[in-house]
Amino acid sequence: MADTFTVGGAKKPRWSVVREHPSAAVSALFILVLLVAGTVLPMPYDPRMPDPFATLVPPSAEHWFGTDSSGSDVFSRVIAAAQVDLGLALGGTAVSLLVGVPLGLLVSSKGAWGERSVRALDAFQAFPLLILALALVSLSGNRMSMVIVAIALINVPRYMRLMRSEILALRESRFIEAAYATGSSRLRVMWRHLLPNSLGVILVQTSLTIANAIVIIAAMSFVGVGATPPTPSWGSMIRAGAENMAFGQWWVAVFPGLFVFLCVLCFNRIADALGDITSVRRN
Amino acid sequence: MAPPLLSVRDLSVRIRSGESIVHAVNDVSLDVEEGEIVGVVGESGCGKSTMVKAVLRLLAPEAEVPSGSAVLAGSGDLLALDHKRLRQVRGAHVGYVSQNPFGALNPIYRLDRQFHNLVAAHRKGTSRGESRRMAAKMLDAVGIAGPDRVLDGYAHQLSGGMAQRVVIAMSFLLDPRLVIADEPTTGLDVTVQRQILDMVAELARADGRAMLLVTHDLGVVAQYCRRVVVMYAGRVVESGPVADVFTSPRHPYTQALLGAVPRPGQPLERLPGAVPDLRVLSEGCAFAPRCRSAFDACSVRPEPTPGGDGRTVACHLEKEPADAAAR
Amino acid sequence: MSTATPPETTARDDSAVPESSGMASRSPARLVKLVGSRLLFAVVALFAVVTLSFLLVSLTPGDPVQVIAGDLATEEQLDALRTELGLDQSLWARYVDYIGALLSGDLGTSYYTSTSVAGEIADRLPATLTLTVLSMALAVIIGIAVGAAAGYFRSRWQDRILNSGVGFFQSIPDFFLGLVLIYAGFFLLGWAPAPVGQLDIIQLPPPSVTGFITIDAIIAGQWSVAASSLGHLVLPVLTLALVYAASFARIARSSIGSALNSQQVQYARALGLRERTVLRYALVEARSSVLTYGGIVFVTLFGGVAIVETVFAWEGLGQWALDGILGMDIPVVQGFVLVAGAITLTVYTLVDIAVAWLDPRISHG
Repeated sequence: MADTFTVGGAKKPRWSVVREHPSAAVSALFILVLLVAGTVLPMPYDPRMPDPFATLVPPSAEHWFGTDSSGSDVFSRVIAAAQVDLGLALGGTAVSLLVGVPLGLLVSSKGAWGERSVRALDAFQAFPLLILALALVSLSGNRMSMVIVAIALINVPRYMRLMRSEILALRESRFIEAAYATGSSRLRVMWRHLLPNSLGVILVQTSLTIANAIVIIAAMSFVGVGATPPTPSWGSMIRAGAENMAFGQWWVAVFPGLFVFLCVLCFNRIADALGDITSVRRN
Repeated sequence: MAPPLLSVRDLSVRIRSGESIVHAVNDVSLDVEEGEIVGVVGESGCGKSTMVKAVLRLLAPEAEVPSGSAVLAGSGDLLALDHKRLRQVRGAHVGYVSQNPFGALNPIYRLDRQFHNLVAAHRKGTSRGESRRMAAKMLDAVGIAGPDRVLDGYAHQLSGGMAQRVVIAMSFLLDPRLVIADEPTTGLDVTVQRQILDMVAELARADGRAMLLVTHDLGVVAQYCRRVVVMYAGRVVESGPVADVFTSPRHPYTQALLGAVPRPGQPLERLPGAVPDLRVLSEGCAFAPRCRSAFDACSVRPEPTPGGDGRTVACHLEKEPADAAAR
Repeated sequence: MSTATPPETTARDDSAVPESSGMASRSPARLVKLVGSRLLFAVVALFAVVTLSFLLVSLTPGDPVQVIAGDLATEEQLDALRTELGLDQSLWARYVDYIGALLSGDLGTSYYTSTSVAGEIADRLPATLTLTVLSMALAVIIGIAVGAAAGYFRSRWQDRILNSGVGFFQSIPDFFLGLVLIYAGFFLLGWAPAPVGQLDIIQLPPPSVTGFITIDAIIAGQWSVAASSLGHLVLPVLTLALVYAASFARIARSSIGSALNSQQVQYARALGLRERTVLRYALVEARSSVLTYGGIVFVTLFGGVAIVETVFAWEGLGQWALDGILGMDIPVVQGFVLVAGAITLTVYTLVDIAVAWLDPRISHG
C-alpha cells in the first residue's frame, strides 16, 4: 500500500516519481551530464584547435564523431558547444520567467486594463518573432547578451498569456473566493494562493521554453548570428557541415544536429512528466 | 412468467486511471420487466451511471467490461452485439436520456437536423418533412410550446429545462420499449428538476414503457418506481419492491440512505466515514468500515441473497441476525 | 483570438417557451459588427507592428553605417553615408518620414542594392508563398489525419505509436531536417534535384506573368521547366510539412479526441446514429479550434520559413530578409516585418470571421 495512491492525496515517496517517469528521469540526467561534461571530463581534442592534416575524417576510434573541414574534432566541439547553447537557453528562459510571470500576474487583474494589455499582446503575436530576434542580435553587433534578450522577447508574452488564462481560471475556484471572503488582501491571495497553484503550468511552460530556446539559439548561430566561430555552438557546426551534407560527409552536421534534437526531446519529455505529476497532485 | 425486458447479469467495469485501476462496477445484476419503472439509487461515485453506460456500451476508451451480460428481450446480449446491430438497437429499442442536456445536443447543427439524423438513422428514406412532423409532435408531448421555433434554432438558445425536454423528446421519439434515464436533472435548477422528473416518469408510465431511472431523488423513486436497486461502492446491496424497501430497509446502507432524507421533526442521521477507494478491491463487505452493525463475518464479502418476497439483500445480517445481535 | 463561450450548464428558468421570439432568425448584423471590429483591430495592430519594428531596429545598439562602410572608412565617408541614408536626422523625423512614405506605398530602398523594397517584395513573395502554402496544405492533411487517428484510438497502442512520431518531428529543428532530407534524397537516393534554388542552375525561368514559376512555366508551355520547379519543391515542402504537421497533429489529436469523447458524440451514439454521422458531429465540434490553430501554424510557418529557404537557397522573401538582417539593411528588415505582420493579421482576421460564421453560438447568439 505504501507506494500506491491514497485517497487523500498523501505525498508519495520521492523515488516513485523517478520510477513512474523513467524517460523524464533519463532526460534530466542526460542534460546534467551535458552541462558539466565540457568542464569535468577530459576532452580527447581541443575543440578550438584545427588540424590541417586531418580534415573531414569520418567517424573512427580516433575521432568518434569524425572531424570537420578544418580538422577540428567534432565530438570535442559538440560537447564544448553544449555549455554555450544550453547556457544561453537556460539564461534566456530564466529572464523570460522572471519578467514574464510578474507581468502576467499584473495583467491578470480584472477590468479594462487587463483586457487592453491582452489586446496588445495579440498585436505582438503578429510579429515574425524569429526574424525579430535575429534582427535584434545582429543589429546590436552580435552581442551574446542580446541572445538572451531576444529569447526573453519571444517568451515573455507567452508567459504573460499563460499566467493570465491560468489565473482567470483559478479566480473562479471556490478556495480563491473563500480567501477573498475571509478578508485576505489581493497581494496575499496572489502570493499565497494564485502563484503556488499556477506552479504546475509554470514549470511545464519553463521546460517547453528551454526546448524552444535551444532551437532558436541553434537557428541563430546556423545563420551566423549569436554564438559564431570560433566559439563552438551546435548551430554554427550544422552550418559548417551543411555543404558537406550534399557530398556525403554527413557527420559534420549530423552529430551537432542530433544533440539539438536530443536536448529538445529531453525537455519535451520533462515537460510531459511535469504536466503529469502536477495534474495528479492537483486532482 | 415472461422473461424480463432487460436482464443485467454479473456486470463489472474497470477503468484505467494512470497506473491504477478503478473497480467502478462489480458483479451487478438487475432486471427490468416490461412496462416497469426501476429506480437505481446510491451516492455519487457508487457506479450507477457507469453501470447504465456499460449496458449501452457508452463507456470512455479507458474503461473495459471484463465480465457480464445485458440481455434485451428480442435483441440479445447488448454487450455482445456487433456494431451494426448495436446501432440499430440504440435509439430505436432503448432510449437514453443523458445527464447534461447542453452537452448532449450538438452545438453546431439546428435541432431540426438533429431530429432528422435520428429518424433517418433508423428509418431509411424518411423525408425531412416527415421527421419534422414526428419531432414537433414529440416536442409538444414533452411540454414545449411552439415546437417549430425550437426546431429551427440551436441548442445554445434553449434554457436548461427546455434542452432536457428536447433530449427527452429525442429519446422517446422512436418509441423504444425501454428508456434509460441517467440522472436526467443533474445541473438543472432545483425548481425545474422535479418538473422534468415528473414529466419523464409520467410519459413512460402513460405509454406503459419500461424505464431504468438512475437518480438520487428518493422521492421520485417512491412516487413512480415499482422496484428499486440500491448501489454502494459499485455493487448492488439491496433491491426489491419500492414499497417494501423504503418501509423496511434491510441493508444497513439502505437504512442509512433513507435516514439521510430530511423528515420534519426527526434529526438527520449522519453516516460516518467516507466512500471506499475503488482502486482497491476489498475482500470483505465494502460497507463494513462505515457500518454500525459490522461483525467478524463481514471480512468476507456477502453475496446478494434473494428472499422469497422478491427482495435481494447482500448482507451477512440476513443469515446470522442472531450472531450479530449476540455481539 | 475569440473563442466561443460554452453555454452555462445550469439554467435558471424553465418557462417551457422560447425566451426570445426571434430565436431562430439569422442575425447578420452581429456578424457584420464582428467583421468590422476585427478589421479595425487588424489595422490598428498593423500600425503598432510597424511602429514597434521601427523603434526596435532604430534603438538597438549597433551602427549600420559602420557595417556598410566597413572598418577602413574615414570619418568623412561615414558622415556622407549617414546623410545619404538619412540616418543623421532625429528619430522622430525619420519615423514621420517612414510612415509618410509608407502611406504612399513606398517602403524605402535597400541600403546595399539601392533597389526598391516594395519591388523586391513583389518579386520574391510568390516563391515564398508557393513554399509556405504547399507546406501548410500538406501539413494540414498529415496533421489532421494523424491527429484524428490518434484521437480516435486514444490511449491505445496506435495512439502511442503516432504520438511518439509526433514527438520526434516536433523535436527536430526544421533546418536540420532539411539537411538530413538533402543527404537522403539527393546524395544517397539521388531522386531529388540539387538543393540550390527553385530551378536547375542551367534552366532559365519562364517569362513572368503571375510571378509563380510553376504557373508561369505552364502558361508558357515549358513543361520541363514546370516539372523541374515541382521537383525542386519536394524537399523543402516535405521539410516544412513534416515539422509543422507534428505540431498540428498534436492540437488535432486533443481537440478531435476530446470531441470524439464529448457528451454530444456519446449521446449521438446512444441514439444509434450512423457512425458516419457521429464522426461528422465530432468534426464540426472540433473544427473551430482546428481552424484557429491552423491560422497560428501558418503564421508561424511564414515567419520561420527564412532559415529553410537559406538551406535550399530558395531566394525567397525569408532568405532576402535574413541577408538584410546580416547586412544591417534596415529598410529590408522593416519591409519584411511589414509583410509578415500584414499576412499574420489577415490570416487571424479571416480565421476569426470564419470561426464566427461557422459557429452558431457566435453568429446566432
